[in-house]
Amino acid sequence: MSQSTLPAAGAELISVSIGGQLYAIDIMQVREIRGWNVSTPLPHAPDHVLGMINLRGVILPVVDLGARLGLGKATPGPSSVVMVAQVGDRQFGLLVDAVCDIVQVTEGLMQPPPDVGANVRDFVAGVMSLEQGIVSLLSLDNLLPATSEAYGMVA
Amino acid sequence: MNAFNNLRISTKLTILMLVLCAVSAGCLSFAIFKIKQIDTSYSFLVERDSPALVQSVRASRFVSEMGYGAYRTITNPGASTEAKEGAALSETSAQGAMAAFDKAAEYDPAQAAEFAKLKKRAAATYDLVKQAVEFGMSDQKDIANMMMKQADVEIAQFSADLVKFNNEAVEDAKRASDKNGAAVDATIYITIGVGVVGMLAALGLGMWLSRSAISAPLQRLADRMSKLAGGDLTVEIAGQDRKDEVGLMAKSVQVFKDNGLEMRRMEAEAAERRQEAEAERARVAAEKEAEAAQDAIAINSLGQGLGALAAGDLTYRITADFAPKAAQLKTDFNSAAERLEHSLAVVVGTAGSISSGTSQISEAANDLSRRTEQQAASLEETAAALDQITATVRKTAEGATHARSVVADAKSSAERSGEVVSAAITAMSGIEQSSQQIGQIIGVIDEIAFQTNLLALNAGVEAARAGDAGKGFAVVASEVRALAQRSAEAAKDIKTLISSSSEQVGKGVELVAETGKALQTIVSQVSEITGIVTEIAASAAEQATGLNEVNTAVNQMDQVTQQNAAMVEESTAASQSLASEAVELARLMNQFKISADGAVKTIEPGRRAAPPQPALARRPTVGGGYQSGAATARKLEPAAAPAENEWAEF
Repeated sequence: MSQSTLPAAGAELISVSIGGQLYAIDIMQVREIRGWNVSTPLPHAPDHVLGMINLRGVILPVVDLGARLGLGKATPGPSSVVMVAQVGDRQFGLLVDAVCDIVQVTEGLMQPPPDVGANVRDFVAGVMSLEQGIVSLLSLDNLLPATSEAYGMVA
Repeated sequence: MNAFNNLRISTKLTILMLVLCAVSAGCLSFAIFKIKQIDTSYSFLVERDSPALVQSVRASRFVSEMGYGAYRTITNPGASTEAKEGAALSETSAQGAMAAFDKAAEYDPAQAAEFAKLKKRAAATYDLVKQAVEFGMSDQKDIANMMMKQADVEIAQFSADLVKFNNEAVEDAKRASDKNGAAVDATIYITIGVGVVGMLAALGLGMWLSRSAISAPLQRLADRMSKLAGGDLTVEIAGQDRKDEVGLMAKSVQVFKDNGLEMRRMEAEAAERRQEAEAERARVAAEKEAEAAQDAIAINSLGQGLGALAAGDLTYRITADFAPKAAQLKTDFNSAAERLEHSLAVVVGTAGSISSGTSQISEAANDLSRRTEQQAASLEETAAALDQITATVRKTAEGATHARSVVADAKSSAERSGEVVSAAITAMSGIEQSSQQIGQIIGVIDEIAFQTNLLALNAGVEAARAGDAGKGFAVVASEVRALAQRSAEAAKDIKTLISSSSEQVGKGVELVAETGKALQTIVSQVSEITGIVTEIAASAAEQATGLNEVNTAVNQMDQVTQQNAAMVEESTAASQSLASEAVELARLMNQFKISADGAVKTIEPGRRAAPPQPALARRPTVGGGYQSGAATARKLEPAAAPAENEWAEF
């Protein structure tokens, strides 16, 4: 998997809350943000895939980001939000507990994730320290593989 | 003289009176005769001489008037009324003079010739005057005056002669009167002389008669009678032969004298008989003397015995020998003295017992009196305390009634509070509903804020995609997001507040409900309290009634106690007087002397009876007197002390 470069200064990130932790997503990868609606289940789908939703005539898969990140299954609430992300030519729905803020990246804010031997670096592009705590920038390319093989590989 | 003595005294006095009357009658007859003579002389003087004199004087006046009438006729004109009146007067005067001379002759016939001569002269004078009047009437005044001059001489002469005649007549009358006066004087002297001689003769005769004929024989008789009264019966009673009252009295005195002689004879006989009786009496007295000697012994012995009894010595017995007829007296006296001694010994013993008994009674009465007083005082205090209690109970009853009304108010207030509580609960539930509605609205707001936030985010995303062109839009989007977030935060705050508010409302509802329950409990308890308070009031009223009855009973007890106290006072006084009486009895008993065993008893009551006197003196001081009195009582009567203590405790 290619090492995605860290966003330059002036780029914008959207911070979200998953399982009490803050994560960030590059705003350029986000197409739309919308409220949670009950999704239609997809048979034999992995555990982190909740089902399908209809977005203006387009059927999108919805992924439980917490479950995908190994933080446990999310329990959708009133503040739960589905973020429509564009990865390549595919679109996904990402279920997060809440959208927090739009963060503007400043010089020196973003740091590479610590190397702890595991495939953490596949999912986390970088980390930054904010007032609310340490926020991890998720790498959606690795998080949502384009193929099922890749999926399996990653998994 | 003897014959005169034989006349009765009344007859003698009558003779004397007759002599006196004869003398008086002679004097009187002489005086009457003389007075009659003088009276005749005076009558003659008055009836004959005086009227003749008067008529003569009147004739003199008529002659004068005759001249006056003629002059009136002459001086006035003949035809005038004055002349006519003068003529008339002259005529009537002449007639009057004639008539007067006639009357004078009639009164004094002795001088009738003289009066006729005078009348003739008057008639001649009138003839002259009459002619003068006739001339005067025919106004021949000169002739008339001439005639009247002649007539005037006649009239003057006539008047002078008449006066002379009259004076002589008056002298005659005076002479006759003097003669009569001399006769009266002679008569008076003769009468007085004869009267004095007669009176002296009568006085002498009366004195002689009273002395010799009445007084002297009576004096003699009185001498004899006094001698008879003096016991001299040998006196001769003189004058019995006289026929007058003195003779009768002398005869009666003779009867007295005879009776006296008879009485003297009978007295001599009686003296003889008396001497015989005297001898008999002397004999009987000798006999009696012998008997009296014997009686004297008995009487002396009895006298001594009775004297001893009188002195109080009951041990005396008669030992002397008495005559057989008086022996019974001795035995009777001795047995009577013995019985008396025995009885008095018994009386002395009994008096001692009475004395000790009365002293005990007196002490007991004193104690009783004191206790009764204490009881009365306690009862009074009790009555006062009862009054206070009654007042307190009455107050309690009033308080209970007041409390009942207050509790009733409280009950109604509590019931009203229950209503308020339910109203509060309703209001609270209303608040809760409102809160829920507010929550729903807040949810809507929150949702809107959320959606707004999402829209702003999407806007931000679009702005970012737009690159530099979307920079301004991005700013707006971020502002909108900030607003949405603030809305969401505000909504969240409101939600929190609402939830806490509704929670508190819920708590409030619970509390109010609890309050309502508590109030209902209060209401029920207040009802119970009302019941209890009513019972308290009723019982307080009952207590008051009961206390009134108790009060009445205590008052009755007080009265009874006071009556008891009075009665105790009376009994105390009675017992004390009884004690003093017992002492007096003992003292009296001590006067009697009794044999040895009785004498011991006589002393004892005197000593025992002493204590009541101090007790009497101690009576007024209640406290101290009681202690010492009780002590004395205990010393005297140890057996009585426990009973007394019991009483004190009681």
